[in-house]
Amino acid sequence: MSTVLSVRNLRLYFSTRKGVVKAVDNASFDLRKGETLAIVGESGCGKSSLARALIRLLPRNVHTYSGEILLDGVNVMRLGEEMFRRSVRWRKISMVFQGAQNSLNPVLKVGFQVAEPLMMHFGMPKEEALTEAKRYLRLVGIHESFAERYPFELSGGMKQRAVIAMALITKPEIVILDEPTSALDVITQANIMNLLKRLQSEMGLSYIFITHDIALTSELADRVAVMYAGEIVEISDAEEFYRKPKHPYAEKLMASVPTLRTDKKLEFIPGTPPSLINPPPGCRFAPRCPYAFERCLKESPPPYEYKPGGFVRCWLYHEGKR
Amino acid sequence: MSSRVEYGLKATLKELLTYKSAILGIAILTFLVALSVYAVVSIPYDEAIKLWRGTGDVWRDNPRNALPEWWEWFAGRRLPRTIILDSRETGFGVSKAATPIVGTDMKLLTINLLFEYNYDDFPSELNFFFNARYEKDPPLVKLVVQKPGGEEIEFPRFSLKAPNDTLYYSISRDVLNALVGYYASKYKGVNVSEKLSSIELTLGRVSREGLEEGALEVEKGIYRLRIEALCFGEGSDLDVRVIIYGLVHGPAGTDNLRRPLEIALLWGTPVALAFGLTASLLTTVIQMIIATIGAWYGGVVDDVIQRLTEVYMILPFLPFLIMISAFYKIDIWVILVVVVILSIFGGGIKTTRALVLSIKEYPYIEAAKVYGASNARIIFLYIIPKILPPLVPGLISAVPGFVFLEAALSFLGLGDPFLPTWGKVLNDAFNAGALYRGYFYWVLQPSILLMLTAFAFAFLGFALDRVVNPRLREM
Amino acid sequence: MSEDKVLLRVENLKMWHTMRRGLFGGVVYVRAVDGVTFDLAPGEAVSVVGESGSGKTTLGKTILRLHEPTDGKMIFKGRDITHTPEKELMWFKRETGLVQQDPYGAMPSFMTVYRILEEPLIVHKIGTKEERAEMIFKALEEVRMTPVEEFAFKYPHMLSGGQLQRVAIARALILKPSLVVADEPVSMLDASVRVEILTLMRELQEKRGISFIYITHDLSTTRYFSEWIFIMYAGHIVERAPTKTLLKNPLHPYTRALLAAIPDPDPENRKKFREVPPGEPPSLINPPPGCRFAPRCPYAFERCRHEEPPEFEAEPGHYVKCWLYVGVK
Repeated sequence: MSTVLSVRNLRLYFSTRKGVVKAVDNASFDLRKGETLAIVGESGCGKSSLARALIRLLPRNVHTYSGEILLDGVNVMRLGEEMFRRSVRWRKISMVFQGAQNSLNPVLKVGFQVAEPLMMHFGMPKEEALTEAKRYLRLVGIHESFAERYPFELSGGMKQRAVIAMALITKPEIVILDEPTSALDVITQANIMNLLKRLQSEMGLSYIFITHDIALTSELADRVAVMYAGEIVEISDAEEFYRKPKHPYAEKLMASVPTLRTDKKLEFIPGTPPSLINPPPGCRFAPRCPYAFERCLKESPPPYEYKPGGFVRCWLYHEGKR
Repeated sequence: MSSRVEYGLKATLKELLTYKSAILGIAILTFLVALSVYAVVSIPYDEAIKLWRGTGDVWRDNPRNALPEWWEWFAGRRLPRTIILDSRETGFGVSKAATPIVGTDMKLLTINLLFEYNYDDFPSELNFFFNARYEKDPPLVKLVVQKPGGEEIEFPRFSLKAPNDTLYYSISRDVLNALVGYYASKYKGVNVSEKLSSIELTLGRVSREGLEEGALEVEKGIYRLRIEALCFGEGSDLDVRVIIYGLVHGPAGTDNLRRPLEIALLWGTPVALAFGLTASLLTTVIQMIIATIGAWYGGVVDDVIQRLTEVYMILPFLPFLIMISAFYKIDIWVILVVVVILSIFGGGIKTTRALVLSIKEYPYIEAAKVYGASNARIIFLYIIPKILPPLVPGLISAVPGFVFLEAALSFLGLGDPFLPTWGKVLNDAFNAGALYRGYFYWVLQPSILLMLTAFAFAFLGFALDRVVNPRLREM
Repeated sequence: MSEDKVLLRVENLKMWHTMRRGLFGGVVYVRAVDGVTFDLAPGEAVSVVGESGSGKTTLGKTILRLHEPTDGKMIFKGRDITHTPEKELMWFKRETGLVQQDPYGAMPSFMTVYRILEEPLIVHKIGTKEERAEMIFKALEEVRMTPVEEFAFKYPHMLSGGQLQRVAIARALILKPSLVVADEPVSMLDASVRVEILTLMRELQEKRGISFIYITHDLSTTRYFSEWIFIMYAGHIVERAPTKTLLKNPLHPYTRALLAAIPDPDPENRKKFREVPPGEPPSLINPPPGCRFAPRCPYAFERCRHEEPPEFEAEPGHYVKCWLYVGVK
């Protein structure tokens, strides 16, 4: 399987009145063609910022934006704004945003909005674009008559599907899904997951699936990256991860997720995540980690490759304690 | 991450101080408050009113329409201050001697008054205030003016008409004739220009050309005024107070009633601040209560209040005030009450109502209903404390509006007639045709103070608005 | 259940919200709760599970008399509270508590934790100042906000979501109620904190013998929390059963769909599709005649589409509102 996206040392810091927020601090990972990489973490861990860093939708107060993003071997970080917009954003990588149902323009018809990326990026004439849009609406399970409707006439699930159609219509290689099913009910969520699975196998898409819901990630993830306080603390493949996560945070997180089908004792993690403005020296999870020892509080652990393609940022592994 | 950006008072203040506009506003305000404190402390209220009425001779010693002393800086010349010479004083330049005339009950009183005149401009006025004591016959007075250089000008004798009599030297016809006659005979055949005044002839460097052209420069030097009075009767006496009125007086100049403007300007400060703040505070608080009650109870109550507000917002403010002032005795308190009443159903109600409507739906209000809090409790202890912070910037920003309103009313002559306020000063200035006459400072100074007040509150209000409304912030 | 064993009896409860339709239209009703019946015993914890729009939140608020029911009856501790005017309900308000979904919005930002907890006591005129102080500190200890002196004088913006929910729990319990409604108490909290809060609530519920109505859309949390589960769909309770029974043997097609739709963290999930019914829950303004789930139900037949099924006791203690189980009892 070829690597379609390679991220190295990605950093995204913001300037705020209170200081510099290190939202994404030295993230590195690979995405292979046709596979899904899930990025899982709790609120404030930086996963949404990571998504925005990848697609370069940045606010005004960026302090640092550095690293390498290799797309089919080309480092797109070096591209200027205009080149990025024309050749990468929505061409190679597109995105389904959190609360996507609210990102539809209420005064434009659904069909038009789904067709817009074609008109903007390929200069396609309106008629042709609309026909293509209707095809994609069908593909995501919406009847094409809805192309003439306005967003308020669609239910939550349908709006989500429309947004997915909008993200796919330019035939990107990679789709970033940022909490694509939040605010949808469980059955609709399952339907959308089914749709995403089908589209992935039919269109050979690679997904970056960002969510806080660990159980949900297992619906799509071939590999899982865990984020904590701006850092990626573990990357494991699905079989390893869901059965036995490596990083103490991932382990505790998994233990705190209630399951429907198995009886397990739930655990919780005491304490709160650190501030992204002044992260502590050493491992950021150390203050809350039950296995922490002296080195953890002083030095920040680099990624340790515990098996090919599996990484964990933890001194326990560097020192062979696990 | 939730967007809760309400911090405590300390943090808000700290944040506020990061805005330069706020610092500027606070600085100006501090200055104004200091001015107010000074005004109230140095001239108590009753004093101020009395002084401003200016009855009697309170301001007799002041020049009329004098420029402020700071004008000298711009004029580039030494502008004359008022010089006061009084025979009752002892000191350098004043002497008084009485020589009885043997064999009679008359005596010859000689008063010498010396002054040095080094200014570049002529004084505005010159008056001699005589104060005589006599039984039957008033004294006979002769005035001699000795210019620097020794030249003496004698004036014809005259008799005082009353124990307190005044020689208005600068406007007296007799004095002018005497001076013109003197110079006409000194410079034979000269045609003394009609433009020349007594003051110029007395204090000017006289030359033939100067007399004919009518333009004289000031003669600097030491002048001596000698008053020789023939007093009749034992125990008769004469004192004189000579006032050589300057062109400048005080930090703010004087008006046409000789009143020093700084009194009104000083006292106008606490009046403006107090009026503006009180009006704004009362209006905001009352509006807040009305809006909250309407929004909370909804239904008919809300509808009535909203319609009332809409009608109010259309009504013309000023004509009402004019009508009211035509019928009622106006003083500052009445104005305050009327202004507040005419403002309480204003536009602020709509915005506050919107705020309350959204807060009404907050979970903590619902929680309060669950544990049984009464409506009154919810309104006053849960809703109002929450809507107060967003109202503060509005409160501050509304102050200049009320300050201007009071000034405008005073300017139109509808204000409190006795209280020295900035608007009143403007009213006096306008009535006296100040700008036509070149008394620009009379209009400029109160205007600047008004603007300064407006700036201070506006800067502060805008900065506060940015602090309290996170959406307006810059990252 | 015998009379004294019932804390709350709800009979055919209906709560319809009125929506005025523009200037000329008549009044339109949103039938959020449309005929709900159940009993709640003292000390019993019940999970009410449903999607958004199922009416579960409205049910919770109606039970607390935040709304006045449109129809039906509510009997609490033997007294009919359906239409009692507000001012006569103070005794009821002392017996009930609410924990809400949004921990930040649930706390007045300008009051300290101490004041927030003091308010219910003041409203019900409980204790002197010193006695109240003692009660407040004890309440904070119970929800494990220690050291209490430190936390008591903090403002809400200084606390995390989890900590704020603890304060909310303390506030709900400070009047020593016999019934607490918790409306999605952990859905706005991070995953790692949810367990903490749910565990805390469960402990306090068991220790104090309080009845809990736990409203949620997350079925996976219910097994850790309640003895009973009520499944709500489109304003009706479609299935009622003890927790273990329902999770092991779901009877109503909707419940089955729900269970089938929820993933556990399992790497095999990505290799298969889930069998779930298509479509969305119906509008509560014009619900379909007959069974409300019929349009999406894979087992629906004629009768389902015309007649609304009553509740059947499919097995002892296990109630289903579905024609599939007619004649079972």
